[in-house]
Amino acid sequence: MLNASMKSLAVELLLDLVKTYSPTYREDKAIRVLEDYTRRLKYNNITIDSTGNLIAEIGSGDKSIALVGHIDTVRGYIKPLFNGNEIIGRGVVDAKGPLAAMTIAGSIASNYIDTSTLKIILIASVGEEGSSYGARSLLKTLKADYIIVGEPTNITGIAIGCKGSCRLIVKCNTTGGHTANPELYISACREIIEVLESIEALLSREYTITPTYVRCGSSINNIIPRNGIMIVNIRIPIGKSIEDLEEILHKNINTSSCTWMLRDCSMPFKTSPSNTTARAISRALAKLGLKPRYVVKSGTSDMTILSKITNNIAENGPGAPELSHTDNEAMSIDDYIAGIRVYANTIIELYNMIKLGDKSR
Amino acid sequence: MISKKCPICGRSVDLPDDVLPGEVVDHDCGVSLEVILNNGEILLKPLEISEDWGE
Repeated sequence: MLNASMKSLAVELLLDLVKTYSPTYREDKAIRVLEDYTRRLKYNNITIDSTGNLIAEIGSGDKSIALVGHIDTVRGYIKPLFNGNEIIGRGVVDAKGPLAAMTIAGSIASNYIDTSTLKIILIASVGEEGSSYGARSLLKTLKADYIIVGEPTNITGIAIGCKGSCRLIVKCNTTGGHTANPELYISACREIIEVLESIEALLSREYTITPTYVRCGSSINNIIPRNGIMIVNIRIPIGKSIEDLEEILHKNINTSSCTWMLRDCSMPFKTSPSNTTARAISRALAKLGLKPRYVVKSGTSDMTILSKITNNIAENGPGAPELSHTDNEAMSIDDYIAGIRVYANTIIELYNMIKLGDKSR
Repeated sequence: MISKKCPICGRSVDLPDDVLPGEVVDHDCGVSLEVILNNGEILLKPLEISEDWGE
């Protein structure tokens, strides 16, 4: 299935993608790199949509599987390196490794299925590390019966859900005052700290609370801080909603000096672990002698958004997710190649399930 | 079809002949069941879903 020349091309592709630094909003060069490879790998109908997503297809079937991986990364350049055993560099785990593996796997699988029955659609999405604007734009154009979202799950993980997320922005404004008499005035710094402590006390048993930005006061030594701002990332567990979070905050943030707002919210999401895509992945893993693990992710991904297209969706991919967003992003060649095999076999399993009469839509 | 007993409600669960370990089936009683292989015998157990790190 995966001969030496294809393995060599796979490594070259991932290395070239990792060498092309592509933080969110700056994906265009990496998209062009991938576009070149999709031509070499027999994809056709290759387009870049108005948002910047790359879409490439193989086949013409009435049924279709979309392989969606994001090409943008978080900021923070890591010098790309290939030492013979592993590739190191920003985004190699999250999620250029899974995306490159999907690109190779789609081409390989097309040799084993009738693509006039099952069309393979490869999508390199943009903006996933931002507001998922790439995935949101796909909602208007993408029709797919089955979707695999390429994210690192240590190969054997099948993610069928993820937590929701919101950005809580708190702004505090006070009248200031002399630091010699702090008891007479309200400090914006103290207000910010109190709001954070109150949020943590209220929510931290079920929600995940991470302050990502805090600023208050000034360098002037004799003025009670007038202004403060804090941004807190809140992860919403499955079973709770954005409205639940809003209600708790409304009831409990009671300070006249501070205002708050929720921005960039995404709902928690969970699909059935027996959906056709998850089944195809589990069958592919079993046939490769690997034991599937069903997981919900503590982070968010494009899966939540893309589930509006089909419930036959799951997330899977090579790479250790705990390395995502760190300065230690690295992927072994063995894991990468295993990821390619899982994706290719998943497409073949799906095709066989369709032939046997899967009626999913 | 292979017929197995649901470990929760005891009623029968039909599985396709080519079912593989790790596949999940939803049973009428509301439980998701994972197919496992024990000494060559196909069995069912309630699915365990863990939480994984990840963006």
